[in-house]
Amino acid sequence: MRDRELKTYLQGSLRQGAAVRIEKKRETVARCRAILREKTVCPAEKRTGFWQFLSDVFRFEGLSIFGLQAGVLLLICTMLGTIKNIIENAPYYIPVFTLLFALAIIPSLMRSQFYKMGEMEAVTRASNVEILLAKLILSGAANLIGITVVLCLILYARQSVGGLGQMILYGLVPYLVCISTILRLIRLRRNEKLSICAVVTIGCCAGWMILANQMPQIYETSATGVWILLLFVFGGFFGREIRFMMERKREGKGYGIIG
Amino acid sequence: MELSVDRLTKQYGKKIAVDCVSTVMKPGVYGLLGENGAGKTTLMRMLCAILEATAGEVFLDGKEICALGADYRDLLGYLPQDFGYYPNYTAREFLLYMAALKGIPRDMAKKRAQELLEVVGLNEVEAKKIKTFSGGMKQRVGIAQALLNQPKILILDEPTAGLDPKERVRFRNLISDYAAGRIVILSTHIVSDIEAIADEVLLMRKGKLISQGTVPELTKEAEGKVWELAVSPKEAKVWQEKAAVANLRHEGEQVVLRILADDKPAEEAVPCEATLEDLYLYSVQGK
Repeated sequence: MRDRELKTYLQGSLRQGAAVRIEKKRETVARCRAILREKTVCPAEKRTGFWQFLSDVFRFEGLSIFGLQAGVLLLICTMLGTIKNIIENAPYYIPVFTLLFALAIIPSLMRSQFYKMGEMEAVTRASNVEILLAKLILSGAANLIGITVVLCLILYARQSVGGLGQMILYGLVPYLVCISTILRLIRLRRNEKLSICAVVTIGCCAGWMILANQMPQIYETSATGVWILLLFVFGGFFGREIRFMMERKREGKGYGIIG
Repeated sequence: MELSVDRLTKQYGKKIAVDCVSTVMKPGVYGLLGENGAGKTTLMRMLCAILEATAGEVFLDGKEICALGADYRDLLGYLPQDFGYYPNYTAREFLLYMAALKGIPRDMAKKRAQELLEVVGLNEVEAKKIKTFSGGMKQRVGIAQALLNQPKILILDEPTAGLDPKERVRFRNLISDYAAGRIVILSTHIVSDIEAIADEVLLMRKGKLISQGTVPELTKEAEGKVWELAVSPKEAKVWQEKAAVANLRHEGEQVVLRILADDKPAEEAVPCEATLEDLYLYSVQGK
């Protein structure tokens, strides 16, 4: 941009007359000096793109994100192996399993606030929106792996793939409820942060357990329509939170709890 | 490069933290002085675009900083007043992490982290965890992270807090060297730090920018308002209650008071040369 500006300026000066005008020459020299000085102070440095940034976030946060998910997976595997009739009643437990996976991503999402790093991170090129997005992508991937492993184990134990679609729905809906609420809490800058998110997730887990006990009919095939409707509703809420994040990123403004 | 602040205001409910501050900053070191709650940190956070202003705007070379987004943050180095750290990171890992967030490629980040650890005198403890560091060492890690991307605009909130005198001198020299062609804004309560390195001083009180100028220009404002008066220890207590006493020292049986007043406070009082600290105290006391 600056080079083009300078070129136009020089061409304009040349067009205005053959003779070198002292005043214009001095002006040109001064502008060139200013540009050179600026370039010396801050030469245009190479910066990494989003994928490199994502890989860097994985390098620093990956172990804690995937480690916690592995811990939850181990806990669920133990439950599957020890609790009586759990495989037969798997649809009732799926929401609780996915919520446990969601619970395990909260420390990573809230880490910077917990350690008072939010302000410092928000001023970096990535900003807190991109950092949160990167952590969401990594956590989502870790959740997906964990939930897939659990579903595979259940299907293997049942020796049947029947009801897989419903089980995905039973897992996805409470997961979206929980993640949308966590993102909303972060967006609204609630300073209770980690504890309130954990309470929401544990509350969801308990709620779904009670629901499964008190209203087992909602897990019947005839209620699938309701689950699909809920998927769209909470999918919409989740999409809305992501849209807010993207808007803040585009506007260059801070997002969520800072400092 | 020009950073202009246009009627910047921040209001929290009924409290106005920053009240219609306007100024223009060109490359140089700017010292922000003011008592606690004067609005320095709020102003700095708005300059960093992490706090939305209630009114007013900040422009960099005529472009609104929020609209510049990542391009603006790329030019920015910031040390918050009260910052944390990930306790399990070593100093080197912390700098590499911050470099990743600043978008610095890995090879360059390693090189720069090494250089900066040497500059802040932490190269020998680079492999130690930050949680084992003293307050001053943590502060130096904070300063190093702010310099990682070689920022054109460096904003430091209380950078010398927790540093011992030797480290403060090292920091002052580092900033003086670094400031060429860059905008450095720093806030501190240590007036001597500002006197030593600031090209221009911005004096804030109750959210308002009350004075701006070079150190000699500002101290001129306090000229004729600083007096020294030798009194007995008993009288000294009375004077401390009825006048603004900037300093007192014992000289034999007597106490020499440094009094800030528009008029000669007593017949025996003698005028003396004003310092930036005198002006600061004079302004803080609401004159």
